[in-house]
Amino acid sequence: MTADRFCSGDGLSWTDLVTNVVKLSGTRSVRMAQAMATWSSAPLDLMQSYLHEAAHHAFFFSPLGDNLASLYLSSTLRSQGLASNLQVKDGNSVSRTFSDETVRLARIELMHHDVMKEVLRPLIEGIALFAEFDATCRGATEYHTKPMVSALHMFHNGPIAESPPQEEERVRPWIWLHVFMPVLREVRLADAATSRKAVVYGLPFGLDGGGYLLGYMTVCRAWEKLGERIPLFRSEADLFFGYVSDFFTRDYSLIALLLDTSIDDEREFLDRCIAHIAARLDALVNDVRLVDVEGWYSPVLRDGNDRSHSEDPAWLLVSKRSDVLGRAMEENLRRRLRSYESDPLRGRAVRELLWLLPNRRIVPVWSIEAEIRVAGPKFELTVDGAEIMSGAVQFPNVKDGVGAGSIDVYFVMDEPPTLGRICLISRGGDVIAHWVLAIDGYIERLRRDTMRRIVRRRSAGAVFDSFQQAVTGYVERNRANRLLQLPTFRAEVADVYSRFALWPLSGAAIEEHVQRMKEFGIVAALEGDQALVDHLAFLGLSRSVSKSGELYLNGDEQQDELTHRLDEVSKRLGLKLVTMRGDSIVNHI
Amino acid sequence: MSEVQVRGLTAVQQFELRRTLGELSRASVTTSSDSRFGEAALIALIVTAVPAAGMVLASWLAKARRSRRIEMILESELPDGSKHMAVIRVEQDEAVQLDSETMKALASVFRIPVADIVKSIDSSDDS
Repeated sequence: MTADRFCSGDGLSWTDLVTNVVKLSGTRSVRMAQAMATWSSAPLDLMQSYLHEAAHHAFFFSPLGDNLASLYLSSTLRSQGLASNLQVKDGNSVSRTFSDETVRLARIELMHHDVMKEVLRPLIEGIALFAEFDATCRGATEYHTKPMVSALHMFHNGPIAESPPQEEERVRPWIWLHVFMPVLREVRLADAATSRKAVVYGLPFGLDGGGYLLGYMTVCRAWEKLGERIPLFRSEADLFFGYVSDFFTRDYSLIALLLDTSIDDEREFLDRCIAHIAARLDALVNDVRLVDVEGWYSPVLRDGNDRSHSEDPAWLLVSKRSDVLGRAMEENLRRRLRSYESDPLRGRAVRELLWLLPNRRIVPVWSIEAEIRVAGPKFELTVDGAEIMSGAVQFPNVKDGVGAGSIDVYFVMDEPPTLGRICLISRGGDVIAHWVLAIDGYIERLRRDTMRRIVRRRSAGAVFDSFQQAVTGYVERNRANRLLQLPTFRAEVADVYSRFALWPLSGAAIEEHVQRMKEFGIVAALEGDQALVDHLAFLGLSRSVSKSGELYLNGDEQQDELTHRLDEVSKRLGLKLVTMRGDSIVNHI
Repeated sequence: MSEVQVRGLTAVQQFELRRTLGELSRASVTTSSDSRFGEAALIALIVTAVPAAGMVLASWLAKARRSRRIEMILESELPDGSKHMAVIRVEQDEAVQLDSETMKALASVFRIPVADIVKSIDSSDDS
């Protein structure tokens, strides 16, 4: 299996940081194939997985994500392991001798990549969980994140019951409130959503298991604190999701730290990463003002562009000096990577990999094997024996006959309006048919610009797979003794997040909660009471899709009693879960 | 000492069983380090493969659990390196005597006679 082809059907959904390949789980079904191949809306039970992975994609397809991926490539390209596995055209192996400095830099680059990735992991997962459970557009702003816009494309492709308003400026808010919100409501109020959130509540409150709960509570608390100063964030949680993502992924002072190979000691680099993330979290919750947020998305207001943001680092509280430094270091890294292109041994692989970086905007999200029968101008497609569709062969020179093929779906994560969804039907190396779904007027452009890139992305993905295999030994050897595998250092990283996740607690109170929740998170804090766990999850999900973003007691005796019990537990433990203010319910997570 | 991995329980059930088993169990934690980020998955529970743990587990299933429905997968590694897997399903409102299939499954995973499992469930009645 190549990195670019992914057969779904088992395990969990994931996104790869380097390639941005996305795998959506639970999708190897005839129902899904039918939906994807015929451009119906994708099944709603996939939406939360989709939002989670789309949030990862957006995080990785960013300056920080690009530099993490580039640093990984740089290190592995430098490595002797790769050279010893390369073969020249006549089939002979070639090994090379590298200088000590090259070996040292390769080691430092991989160490920086690994440490930064692991220090950021709770934050990355926390933001994705926030996208999955909380992000909402209520139409009060013209800004929408790519994950939300693409989810609208993916999950609402059907007729609209009512007519949109006549006034152009009211159409977009109307779409979010009257088209997307009902879809989101159906998904988040389903039992499955409550169960998914309960899973997160039961995870360890620490770095073990991926740092999900720690990261999610940190992001929720940041949202709550910022919402006190910037009420717009409270109703437009998608705006917060976009801002908090950019706050870290466009932070060139963080990128400068990542790329500073003069820090060759892992302990020192870990300390610097921890200090930086702590300072940024602190700045996020304490220093960001409404004017910063408005400055950040001012191009949206000025140009009406759905997803532009200002390049001025000041709006993300990054100094101009750090920004310039980080960008210069980024350019150095790019230049060095490009210098490998002329290498007789690595040149081709390097060219494909460097091409892949900006083209990660084409995201392979879904694929299923199919049997394809071609007879003259027509083809028929079956999956697991069920006929999915038939249609016209769109490309010349496709031979008659039956053979194994596939349906592949790609998302093009360009700025709107060229954001779209492309479906490819292919057999062997032949593309038989394809469909493009995009905003009217941009379909042709997307088809023209993207089809060639999709085909190349497939070959670049295959090159990356071979590359990965060649460097596996090198990477594993270097990762074997990372400090972050030791509990002491993992605890140091967790401490930073705990302080924000459990705000306003401090000192011994934090330690008490960390101990209580270290294995089973909030489930342990709620003494394993299933009704309370489910109700806490339900409250948060309900708030995310309520009209105003506010929650009130609803007169349902059983539910209101559970809410009161959650309030009592919160008070007793000093843990912010739910707070009652008269009839009003404040759900903190 | 060999261990049994318990999967398929909800977080609440895991918490309950972990508390019941005490020192005979631990939460399985992974230190992810690869480049994949994605959906959250429940951790597994690791139970020490000793007769006492099998008997406590049986009593919990029969009498002490709070959930009506339990579905769990037990997986252990035998001395020869082969894997042994058992799936247990219980769906009852009230405390029940476990069915023979469930008791056999527990007996084989924890390598104890079925009679000992029956005895432990009965004695948990008395206590």
